[in-house]
Amino acid sequence: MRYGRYLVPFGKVSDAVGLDLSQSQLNRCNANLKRNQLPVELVRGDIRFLPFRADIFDAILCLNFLYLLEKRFWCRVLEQFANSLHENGELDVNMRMRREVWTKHYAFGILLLMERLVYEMEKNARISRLWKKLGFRTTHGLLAFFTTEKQMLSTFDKAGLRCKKQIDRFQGHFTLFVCQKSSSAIQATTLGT
Amino acid sequence: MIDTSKYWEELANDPIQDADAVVGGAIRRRNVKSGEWARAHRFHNYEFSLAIPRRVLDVGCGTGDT
Repeated sequence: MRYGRYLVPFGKVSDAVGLDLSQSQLNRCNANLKRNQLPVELVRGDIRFLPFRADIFDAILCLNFLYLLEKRFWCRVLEQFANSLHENGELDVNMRMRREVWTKHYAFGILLLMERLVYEMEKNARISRLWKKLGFRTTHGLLAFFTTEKQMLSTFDKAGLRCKKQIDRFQGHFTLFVCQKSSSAIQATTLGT
Repeated sequence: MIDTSKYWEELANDPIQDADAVVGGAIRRRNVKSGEWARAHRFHNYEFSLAIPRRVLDVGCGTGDT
């Protein structure tokens, strides 16, 4: 079972909390956790409005998830993460990177065409919605929004996060960003602003 | 609170801990020079620099991928 894949190992060693918007997916995740006999708390909520107090999490995992949201929400979501993250806490977020699409995989012509379509969709939310309405999906069955390193670093900066480390995976298609709260964000929280 | 003592016991007695092996999602490492133990997590080919965190939030936990 893949539901709650990261919660299972973390649930054994930490006070883990899982968040999702979909009740049906949470039910599946819960079934998986019950099978492993883990008392992990699951919360239904919207990540744009995280239902948690400030400075309480030592780690936030946002894996294979953020790039499925429209770009206009990214900064807002990362701000929420920065707020809930402890001063020395760590945020791990992975993104789909645009750069490798054009430089490495010319051989996969059809795939490339699909990636190009997704790239075009990301530029226009209306097209994206129309695309969805028409019933088209990407190879993963979901719409993915690509980004670049520069764009992510600037988004992190706006959201009060500092990127500590980047790890490229799958020939650079995915990059894991390991972030911490930036010093200005810590100061703002301390002052209660 | 979750009782983790059993888990740590298992981890400590694991015979392959010296080989940086994945043990139930957590790997344990020893610095050869200082002899200190450090822990890191490795999931889905990602290796985190996290020590074992006390409180973790997994966002999008219900999706098949996470």
